[in-house]
Amino acid sequence: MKHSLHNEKYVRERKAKAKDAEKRAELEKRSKYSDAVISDEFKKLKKKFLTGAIIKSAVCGVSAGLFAAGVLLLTAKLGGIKIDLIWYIIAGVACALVCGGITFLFLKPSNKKVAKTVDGEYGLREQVQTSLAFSRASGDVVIMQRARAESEIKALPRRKIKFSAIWQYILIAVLAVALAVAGIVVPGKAVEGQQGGEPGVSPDRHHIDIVEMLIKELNDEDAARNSSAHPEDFLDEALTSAVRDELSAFRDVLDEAWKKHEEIVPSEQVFPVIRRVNALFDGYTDYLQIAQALTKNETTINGPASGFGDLIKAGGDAYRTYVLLKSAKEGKDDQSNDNLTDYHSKMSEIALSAIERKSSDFIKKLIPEEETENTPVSPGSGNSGETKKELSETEQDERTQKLQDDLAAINDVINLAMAEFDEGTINLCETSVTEALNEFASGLQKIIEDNSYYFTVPSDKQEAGNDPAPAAETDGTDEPEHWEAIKNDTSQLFETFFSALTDGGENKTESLAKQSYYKAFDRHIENNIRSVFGLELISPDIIETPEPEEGDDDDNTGSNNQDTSGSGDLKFPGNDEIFDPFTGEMKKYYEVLNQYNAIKDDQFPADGSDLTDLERQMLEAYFNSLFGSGSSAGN
Amino acid sequence: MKRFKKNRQNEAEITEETVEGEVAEGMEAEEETAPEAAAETYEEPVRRVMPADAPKVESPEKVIRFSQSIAKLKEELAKDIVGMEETVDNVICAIIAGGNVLLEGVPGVGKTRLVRSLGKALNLPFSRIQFTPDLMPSDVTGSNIIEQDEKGKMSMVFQRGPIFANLVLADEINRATPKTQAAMLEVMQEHKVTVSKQTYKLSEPFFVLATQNPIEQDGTYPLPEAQMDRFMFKLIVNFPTSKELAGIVNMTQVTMDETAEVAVGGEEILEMRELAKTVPVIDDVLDFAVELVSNTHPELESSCASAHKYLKFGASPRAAQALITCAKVRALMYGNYNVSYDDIIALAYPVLRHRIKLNYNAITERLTVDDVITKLINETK
Repeated sequence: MKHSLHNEKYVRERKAKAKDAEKRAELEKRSKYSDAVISDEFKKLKKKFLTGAIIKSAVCGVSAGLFAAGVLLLTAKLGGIKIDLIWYIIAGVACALVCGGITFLFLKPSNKKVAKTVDGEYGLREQVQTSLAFSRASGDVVIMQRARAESEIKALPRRKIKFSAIWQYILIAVLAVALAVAGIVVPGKAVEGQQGGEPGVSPDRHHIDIVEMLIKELNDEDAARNSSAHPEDFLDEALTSAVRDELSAFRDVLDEAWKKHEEIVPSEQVFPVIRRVNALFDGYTDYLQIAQALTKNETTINGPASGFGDLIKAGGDAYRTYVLLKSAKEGKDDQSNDNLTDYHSKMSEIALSAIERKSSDFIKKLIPEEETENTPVSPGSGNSGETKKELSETEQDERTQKLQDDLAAINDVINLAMAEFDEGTINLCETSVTEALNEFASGLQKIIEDNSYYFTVPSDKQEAGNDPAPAAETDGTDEPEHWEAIKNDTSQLFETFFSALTDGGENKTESLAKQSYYKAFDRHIENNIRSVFGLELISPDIIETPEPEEGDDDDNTGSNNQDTSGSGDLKFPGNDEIFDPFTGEMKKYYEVLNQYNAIKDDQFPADGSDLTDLERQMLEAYFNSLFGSGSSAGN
Repeated sequence: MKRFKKNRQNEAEITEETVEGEVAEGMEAEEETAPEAAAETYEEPVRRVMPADAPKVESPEKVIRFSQSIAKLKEELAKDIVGMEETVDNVICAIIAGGNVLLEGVPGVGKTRLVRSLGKALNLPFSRIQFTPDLMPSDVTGSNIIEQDEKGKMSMVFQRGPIFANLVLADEINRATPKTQAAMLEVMQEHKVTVSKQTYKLSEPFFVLATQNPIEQDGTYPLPEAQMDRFMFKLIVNFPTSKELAGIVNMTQVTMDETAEVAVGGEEILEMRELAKTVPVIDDVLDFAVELVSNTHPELESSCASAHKYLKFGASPRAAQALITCAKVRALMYGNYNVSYDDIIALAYPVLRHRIKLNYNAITERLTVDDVITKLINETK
């Protein structure tokens, strides 16, 4: 045992000694070159290599820095994150230093590396390496070898830069520059509705206070409603509660970000909040929406029959959408919708059959082969006692098709309007609106039925006995002579309908005014939230103010301008007309009031010193209409 | 290496102890050479290489004389040998390095003539041994015979064999029996002969240049691997080109005898050998040579793919020694003062071709030994 232990120890010692000897030999091998006595010529050569290594390391380092900055920039832009410029610089510089340093460690030329490279490139047969390795050796041959190596180094031609040796560095640099440029050039992620606003904010106490203010206003509204004798004049409790919940959640988000210091709340988080608040208010502003749709399209009433049908349809769409959304919101089942569908089908049949009967008679009258130029045409049966011009077959086809299209469009509109009036829907909306629409649809259908013959028939009819009138255009752009009457009737019908919504009764006006108040509150909340994030505010023209009641002329102008319309804060001092310089017409002043207010708010200085001529004209016209000529705008 | 160095020291002892008259005469002959005329030609390039501020070389004439001797030797050999420049260079290299050479070629290509011319040019005692199947070992080494002096007293006297020369031509060595071939082993490696328990050292420099015929293998005894390993080089002497053949014919029309004159003496050869030892070789080149030899061994996991695929067994450590020793000589021969990769690669063929054995894969792919050596070199680079 003792003997074997001794042997093991001996073996271990031998192995350790061998390992040490190996290490020493390796070190000796390396030191041959590192500790070599190098000549001046070799020093110069090494310096050139060192310069090359520094340049390559610098290229790598700068490329790495640009690459890092470019990646960071692209990531921030595409992710919609805002990062300060200093961080890009820090990241780039840090990356450049680290990569450049590491590259230099690898490329740094040692004596051996330089010697090996030179020997290989110039075919010196390991002379330079040998002269270095044996720089401290003696012997005739060794001395002569060193001398020859030095002379060879001296005689080396200028080192050519080979593309094969540097193409990698060029490629790295090009890619890095391209990435950096892309990071600068690529546009940032578009923020919904941002329109030049900040991509996000790092909230502070001020931002949170704004939201807190809105919540307080809602609380004040609740308090005022509960203590008021007319709670219907204030926002509904369910609405304020729902909106308050939304704003509280949003306030918590801002608060959380504020506590974390420098955390940014992106603008994308704002729009869902705004949309939800808008939706809550929309549920309480149905009349306003209908009125807006109809009011906007009122000016197109003078268009052709298809446009006439479109504007009816728009109003009907608004109402129909409201009905469906409200029924879904309140958990109404499809029963009401089924009733709507059934009713629609029933009314469609009736309306269609009525119109078809008349239209088929009318179409028959258009067939020229059964008629002559002197054949009287009576209106009831399609002939009006007037002679009918002979038409070509193509013209007949075109006219027939157009008539059918127009009648089909009108039929659809009526059906749609009529389809909404069902017992189920009556429970979902105001009775007054239902009745108004019902009356409107009936009136409209009556007009169409009575005048369907004239809707698209060209004005080529003449009294009996007269010469045939020249054929009119069949493309619908020319109006038939009876069209004026039709327009007057439909205009009156519109006015009646709109009046029914707005001025037809006490409740109408109050309801619409109340809904305007709702919408104004909604806009107030939205604009405050937008202001927190530097987003563009909603135009005040989006929500049109309710149409005030028509009252007596103003004392000065002969019109009653002492009467007011509207309620609450939305009262207007009169219903007079004012000159609109943009259109050259007289308009009810409330129609241009918003425009006037916008100009006034934006450009009207306190002292009135910088009024433009146009503004002065408007003001003069306004004052003239109110107080008579002789009044002037200005101070 | 230590053992090898000790042998070299012994060589010096042998030189001192075994100076024979005839050898001494050969050594003295070299003093008559006149390098002065050659110096005019060869000193100039050396001076051009050496910058003015270079450290002084103690005896640059040694280096100069080396080049001159080589040039003179080649010049004298060229009088008798047409072509075969590479073979001649390798033979000279092996002689200076102190190794033995095996020349293989078809009959009549000048193998024997080369050796005989070399003997004349080196001014060394030369002997030729024609190996035949009935040649006995004692015919090579010598034997004891009984001599009677004037007084009638009988005594045993060792009669030296033809091996006791400086330059020995072993013609058709593969025709001798293994017993006789074995007698050459001790001679070639240790430069001594042992007969009847008596050891007789051979004078330096000592070379064996053997020849063998690659055809007519009937009645021959392939040299054992141990003996093959004793040869530093195996050189293939190819059939001369048309131009060379024409030159041979023209030359031999004048005379068939060798006309080479003395160029280098034995002492000079030893000096040249010592000088060649001082040629520096860097570790990378040394490692390359070592790795090349290691790569010839298929049993080693670290060896290259060609070795595993084409070789049965690889070269001995003598191959690595031969590579480095001869590379130093070759570098000096071509006017270089350091060993390079090119030297190792050039000498790999004569050093390795008789030391490695191809396997069946190489034979089926019709690869020669030189082809496999080329693959080994490429995979080692």
